Amino acid sequence: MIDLSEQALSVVEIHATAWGLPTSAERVAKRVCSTMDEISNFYDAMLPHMEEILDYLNQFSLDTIPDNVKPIAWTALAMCEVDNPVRWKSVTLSSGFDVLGMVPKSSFYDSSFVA
Amino acid sequence: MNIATNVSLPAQGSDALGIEKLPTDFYVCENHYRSELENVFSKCWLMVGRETDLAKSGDFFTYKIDALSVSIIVVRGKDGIIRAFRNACTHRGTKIVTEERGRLRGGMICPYHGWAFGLDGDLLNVPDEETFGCLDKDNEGLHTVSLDKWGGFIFINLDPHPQWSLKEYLAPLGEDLIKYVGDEQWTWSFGWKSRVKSNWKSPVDAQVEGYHITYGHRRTISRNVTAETTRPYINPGSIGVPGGHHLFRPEKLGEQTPIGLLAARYGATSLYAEPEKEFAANNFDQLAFSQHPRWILDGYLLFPNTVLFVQKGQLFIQRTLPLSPHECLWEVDFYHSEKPQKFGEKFNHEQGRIQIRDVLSEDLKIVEGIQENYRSGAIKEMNLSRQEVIIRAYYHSIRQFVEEGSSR
Repeated sequence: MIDLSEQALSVVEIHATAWGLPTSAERVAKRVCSTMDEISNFYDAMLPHMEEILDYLNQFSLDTIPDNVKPIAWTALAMCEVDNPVRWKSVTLSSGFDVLGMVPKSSFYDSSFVA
Repeated sequence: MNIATNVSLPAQGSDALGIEKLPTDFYVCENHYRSELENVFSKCWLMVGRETDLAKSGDFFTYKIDALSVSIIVVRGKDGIIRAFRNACTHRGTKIVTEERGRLRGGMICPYHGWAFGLDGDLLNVPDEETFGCLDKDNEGLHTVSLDKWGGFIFINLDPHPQWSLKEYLAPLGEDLIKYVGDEQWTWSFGWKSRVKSNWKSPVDAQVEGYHITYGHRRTISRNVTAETTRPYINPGSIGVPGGHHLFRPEKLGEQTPIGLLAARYGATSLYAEPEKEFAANNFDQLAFSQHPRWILDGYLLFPNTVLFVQKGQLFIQRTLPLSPHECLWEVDFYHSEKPQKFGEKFNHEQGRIQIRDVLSEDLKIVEGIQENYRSGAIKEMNLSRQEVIIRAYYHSIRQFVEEGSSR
C-alpha cells in the first residue's frame, strides 16, 4: 500500500471540506452554487495530483474503501463535476437546461415526480 | 453478420422518404395529442422494465401513464411467468399496490375491502362473499395487460390484441443485439427524470438525428462526435423500429480535457474519448460496427417513446411520456455490464455520466424553446435534411397510427 504524498494529501484535505460530498446530487448542487473562482481554485489545486490520487484509491477494492479515505474519493469525483465549467469558464451552461431539474432516480421504476 | 472492421462508414441518411416540409401541428394540436394517446400509447409496445428486476416469485413493479390514468402491475408468478395487470381491484377499482416496486408475499390484497388475488391475477378470496348476490369469482380476476419480452426488457401493450407481436415489432434489431442486450449482467446503475416543457416527441427527435451535434453541442461533445460522423438510417416498413443511427469518432479527435483522458484509462463509458480498457461482454463482438476502430455506439428508435443506445459496457435509454401536448415526463436510465470494482472505474462512470448529462441538458433546453415557437404558431412547418431522415420516418409512423385510428 503506497500512501498519498504529503503534498497531494494536504491539497485534498483543504478541499475535501467543501467538495468531498458523498453523492453526485450533492456534488452538482455544490458546483451550481459555487463561484467560478471557487471552482477554478479547486480544479487548479487538484489537477496536478489527480493521477496520483486515482492510483492511490485504486489500491482499495471499491466496496472496502476505509471511511477516512472516502472523502478523498468524493473530492476526486467532484473533479468530474467541475471539468466542464472550467472549460466553459462558466458555472452553468447558458445553452443548457437546469441540471438541478434533472432529478436522480433511485431505480428504473422511479418515474413519479414531485415538483 | 458482416462485421465491419474497415474505415468506410455507412451512408449519411437518405431522401427516400421525400424532401418536403413537415407540419409542426402534430407537436401542439390538442386533437392530435388525444389521438396519440388513444392510437399510439394505447396500441404500441412500451418498454417498462427489466426481467432481472423480477428475480423471484412475487417481485413486482408498477408502470404509470398519467395522461391515460393508466396504472399497471407487472409481477412474477409462482410459476415463474411474468404477467401484467391493470392495477385495479375488480370489486370497485381500488389501486391494489401503490409502491413503485417490491415483493408481494403470496398474492395481492386490495387495501380497501381485502379482496385477495393470486400472483397469476385470479381472484382467490372475497371477504363476506355470501353477501354478494351473484359474484362469479372465476370471471373477476385482475384485468390482464399484454406483455412480452425482448433482450431482457419487459414491454407492455395496452391493446388486448396487439396488431404485432413484440418479436415482429422489434424485428429489425436482430438476434445478435438480443444476445448482447439480453445478457443478465446488465445492471441498472443511474438515471435522471425531469418534467420538460416540450411535446413528448421532441426529446426523441433530439436523440435520433445527429445533424445538430456539431453546432448544438459545440460546448460539450462536438469535439469527439460530429454530424458528419453520425450515420442515420431508416427501416422502411418497420413500425417498431423506424430507424437508428451509428455514432463514430472523427478520424482526429478534438482536444480532450485532462479529466476526460484520465477517466478514459478506466473504461469505455465516457462516450467520446477513446477507451483504453477492453470489456468482455456477451456477444459484443457480433454487433455490426463493434469492431470498427472509430465506433462509439448505436442508437435505436423504439417507437413510440424510447431511444436505446448501445455501446461497449453501457446501455442508456431515454423514455418520454406525455403529460400534455406541451409537457412530458423525461427519463434516462443507464445499465452497465460490469460493476465497478476499483475507484478508477467509478471515476470513469461518473465522468461519462456527467458528460452525457450536460449534453442532454443542451437538448432539453432546445426542445423547450422549439415547443414555444410551434405553440405560438411562429413556425408551422419544419425543414428536414437527409441527416434527419429518422424524424421523417418517425412522423410517418405517428401519422399512420393517428390516421388509422381516425378511420376506425
